[in-house]
Amino acid sequence: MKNEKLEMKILIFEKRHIIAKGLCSIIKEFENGIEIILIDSLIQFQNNIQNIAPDLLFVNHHLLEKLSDSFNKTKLQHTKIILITNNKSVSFNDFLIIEKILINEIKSQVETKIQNIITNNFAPEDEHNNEGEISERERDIVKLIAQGNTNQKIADQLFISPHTVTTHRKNITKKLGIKTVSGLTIYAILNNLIEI
Amino acid sequence: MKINKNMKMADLILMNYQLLPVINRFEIQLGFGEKTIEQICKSKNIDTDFFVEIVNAFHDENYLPEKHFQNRSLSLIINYLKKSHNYFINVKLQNIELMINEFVKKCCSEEVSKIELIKSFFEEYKKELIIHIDHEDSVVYPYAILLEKVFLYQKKEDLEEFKKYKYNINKYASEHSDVEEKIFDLKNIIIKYIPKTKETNLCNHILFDLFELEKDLINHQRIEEKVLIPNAIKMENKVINN
Repeated sequence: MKNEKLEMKILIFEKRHIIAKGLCSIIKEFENGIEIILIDSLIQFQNNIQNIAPDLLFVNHHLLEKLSDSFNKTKLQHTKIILITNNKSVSFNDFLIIEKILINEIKSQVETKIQNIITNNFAPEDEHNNEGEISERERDIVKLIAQGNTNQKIADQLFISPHTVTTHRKNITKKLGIKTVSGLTIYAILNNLIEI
Repeated sequence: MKINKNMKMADLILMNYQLLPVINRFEIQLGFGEKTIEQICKSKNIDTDFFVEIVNAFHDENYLPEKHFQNRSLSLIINYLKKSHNYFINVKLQNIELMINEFVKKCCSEEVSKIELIKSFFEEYKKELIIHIDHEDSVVYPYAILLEKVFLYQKKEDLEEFKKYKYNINKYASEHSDVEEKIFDLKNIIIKYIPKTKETNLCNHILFDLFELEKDLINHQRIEEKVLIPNAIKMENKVINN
């Protein structure tokens, strides 16, 4: 179990409830932390798509056809789309289709596709070092954060780039489940990294 | 499962007891008998559709307003949101604070400085949440209510007052921050790093309350972002264009 909500959203736009729910449960088997939103009507989709801004969009190909004539395509320009279809050869020029899932595919095919889609698009930055205790380097960074240093100061002191500090901070949050500076400070004191 | 107005109120609570404080905000108390949601709402003069939408939104986080929730009266929504504010401050935060104080009193001398630390973290959070809530109660909500008045009745004096407000709902949308981040931290700190203690039960109860408050806050925020803000923006556009 990951201790942080993965910040990613999947939207499933599909009228057939059985298919939408089925897809939803297959995705959850691989990654329980993803936020999945189901939408089954065109109006609802158009009203909410900008608010939701999903990272991945699973959509029935007939519904996508309807969108391509009525919908402002630019709203979906950068959204990665997975088509739910029964037609292997269907294609859309205006959208970023990264995969097709065929309705008659057998279990293992669907599962492999979904697993690939998720790992290719959602792999955390530091996947191998994602669990367990924080490293020595991360400890040093927690100390410096707890002492009130900014990312820039920490970078200067440890001779690394601010971007690297940001990456370290993300990984620290993933491991500890603590997002805020004051939370990290309490952590540092409780674990005797710093004294008060 | 979608909740509908023909369901018995008792079944609603048997299905999800966490809805209890939510329905209390509508002044509905226990002892429902066999009455349905609709019957109870009618007898209490509550807008049944609104009630059903609120409990659905709380019960299922994927529940999204379609035709529901659209063109709802802002004052109705705000009335609900204000009651939740009241519950957060006067019930939830107070309960948690009392329990944390009790915990500090009961723990032994070696632990006390560490528990005090957790207490101060909570106090800091409490202050922030109260500031957030005060801002909504004193700036955002009155603005939205006035906006609705202008939108509905188009009276000149309201419009004058409205123009004086140097505020708009986009400003609110952009500054609307995550108020539950620190609860997330606090939960993790207690679960992972709390010193060993004999006060297991007390700790559990503090955690239960934190989990509940977090869920309630997230839901509250969802209603603000997915219902209040879009509805207000629509009204704003019409008022400004007239």
